[in-house]
Amino acid sequence: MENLDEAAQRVRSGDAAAFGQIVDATSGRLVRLAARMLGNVVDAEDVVQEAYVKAYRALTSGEFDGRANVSTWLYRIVTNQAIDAMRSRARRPKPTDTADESISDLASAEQQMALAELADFMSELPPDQRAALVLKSVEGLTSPEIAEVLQCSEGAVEQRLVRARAALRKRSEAQ
Amino acid sequence: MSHDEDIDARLERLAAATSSVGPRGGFSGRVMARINEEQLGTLLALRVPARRFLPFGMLAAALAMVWAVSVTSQVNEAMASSDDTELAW
Repeated sequence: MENLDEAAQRVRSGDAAAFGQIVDATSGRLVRLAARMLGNVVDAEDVVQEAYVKAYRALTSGEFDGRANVSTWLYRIVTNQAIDAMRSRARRPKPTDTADESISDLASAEQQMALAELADFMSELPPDQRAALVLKSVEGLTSPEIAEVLQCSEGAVEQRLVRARAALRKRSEAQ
Repeated sequence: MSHDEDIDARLERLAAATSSVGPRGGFSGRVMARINEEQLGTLLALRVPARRFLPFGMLAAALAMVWAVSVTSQVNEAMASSDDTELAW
């Protein structure tokens, strides 16, 4: 992680190529996080790419002051971007059967099925609860880490997790 | 509690099943191409407003030149008159 901080420092001093090191070191984990939240790799890549553009702007404009940990900061940007994508997706009608052809080469069939199952399992949850649940139970972050990523209190994190679990429990009881 | 256990077990299974999900090949290259576009866009965005202010900049430069010449000649005059004074004294 020290390398990430150094690379971020170099980007801040005008070395745009150093941003490539940050992308190489973090893209796997960030795309996986976004895919787990959104249910497919294509949307996840779009979200992560936009998150990187935001991060680059923040580094070059001095908006990112270097006090926060770079990987946590990137996690936060991707999570917020994914939450926005979920909200805008909820506002527009669902596309019909267009996903499979574009994602066939992205991951194994098992992985795609697992992502789809995860998305379906949490589909009724509001984006903020879904994000908290993915970060806790799928990504394995602790509550303080989730609070830092979501920029809220630990109490708020616990409340979102309790509500998310209650909604999932209610759903499975109804089935 | 059994429902919670079901939920946790299911999420744990799905976490394991998606643990090797990652970006397509060439993703880093696409991101860096986007970053390069961003850099270029920033430069162009700076150049367009700068071009709009070019006439004002030229006028300011001309006024500064006139002012500099006038100040220089005033200084020269002052120095010349002080030389005169010195000679007379």
